[in-house]
Order: sequence, then structure tokens, then C-alpha cells
Amino acid sequence: MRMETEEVAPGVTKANLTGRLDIGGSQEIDLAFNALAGSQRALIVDLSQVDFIASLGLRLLIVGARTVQRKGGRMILFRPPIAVESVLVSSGTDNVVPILRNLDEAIHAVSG
Amino acid sequence: MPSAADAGNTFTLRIERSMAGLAQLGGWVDTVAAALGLDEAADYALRLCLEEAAANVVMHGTADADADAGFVVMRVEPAPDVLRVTVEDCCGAFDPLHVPAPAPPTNLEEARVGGLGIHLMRQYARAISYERAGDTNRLTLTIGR
Repeated sequence: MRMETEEVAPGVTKANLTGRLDIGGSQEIDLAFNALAGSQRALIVDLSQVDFIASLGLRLLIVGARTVQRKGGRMILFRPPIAVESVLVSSGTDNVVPILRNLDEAIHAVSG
Repeated sequence: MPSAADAGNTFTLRIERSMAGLAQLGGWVDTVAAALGLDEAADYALRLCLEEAAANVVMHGTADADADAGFVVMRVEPAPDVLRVTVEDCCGAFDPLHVPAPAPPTNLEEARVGGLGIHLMRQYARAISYERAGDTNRLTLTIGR
């Protein structure tokens, strides 16, 4: 599991995750992702290169989104593959962390 | 249990009942999926069900004095159209199928970060059953392939 970050607009960070958000993958990026969530107010989590997620990965995303929100910021999920999106929807995660597919809309959504 | 004729086809993994043990699961599922030539949907369903079932045991299982309670044993037995999967542990009796489905979260502060495993397994397995056999919890799942 890999995580790289880039600034896609002033004050807006996109975290690009690559690999499987399974138990092992979630453990690998847990510290780095929590630290990122703790330091950002506008965070786009790019899931386009994530090919698996289950409940431990959902937990990572929900805890991160909560951390950002508690500072008055916003986090959204970006372009999950269909198999990953199915789990996000089935678990109701999309009710509390929006999923967007267009980068301009994503930047606008977190910039609010 | 696999019959003698199936024994050579059955894949078995025994892990420690710990987060370190769980971290071995992904690589093992890679091996099983490659050996059986599983497509992406079957690979996903197998990976998700094994991960959720084993994580439940690791996070919620209650150990007693039995030394075997420190392990989780997973078996995948291929049949023509399905995979028969068992997950066994020797913790205290626990039927995960009686855990009520969580209500969908409506806001981030109240979203539960646990309790989703069974709900997800039900979405990805064709059938799930639980039995207590002696001092063993046995969850049996049927997964399409």
C-alpha cells in the first residue's frame, strides 16, 4: 500500500492511494494517513488505484474524515473503482463521506 | 470437512489470533486465487469474507485457557461453481450471525467504525452458517466462482 500527496489547488491536498486497503494495507498507511488527516482542512482521497477495501479500510477512511471535520474541514473520496464503490455504498460510507468523480467538483466540495 | 477425494485441493491457513496474523491473509488469498484461476469478482468476495470473518475472531473472540484459542484456521475447498470456506476458532461460543445489522450512518460523528463485517459478508457470500462443534466456532461460507 502506497500513499502520495499532491496539492491540486491552493490549500487542497489530494492523497493518492495505491494498492489494497485490506488489513495489511490499512495497517501500512494508518499512521501516515491519520497524520495527514490531522494536518489538512481540505482533503481529497483518490481511490482510483485502490482495488480492494473491507471494513478495516472503511474504518481508516471514516476516522480520517472525522478528524478533518472536527477541525472544520472536509474530506471526500475520489473515483473509487466499481468494486470498491460497491463496498462504500453497501456500508453506507457514502452517506457520510461523499464520493465524487470530477476533480473540479471535488476541489469545490472540500474548499467550501 | 473436505472428503478424502478433495483433500489435495483444499487450501488451509492457520494464523495467530493477532493483527500480525491477520496481515498474512492477503498474500495467502493471492496464492489461492492464482491457483484456482479466480476471476476478479470471486477474488474480491473470497478476500472480503475471509478478512471480515478472521478479523471478527481476532477483535471479538474471547480466549479461555485452551492454547488453541490463540489461532484461527481457514480452509478453502473448491467445487465446480462455488468455493466452500470455513473459518474456525476455539474461542468462547460466538454466533456472529446473530449480530444485528448496523443502521446506515447518517452523520460522520455517529458513524460506527465497527460492526460492518457481518453485514458485508452477507452481501458477498451466497450462504453463511454457524455451528458450535465441541469447543470450536465454525463459520461456513459458500462463495460463487
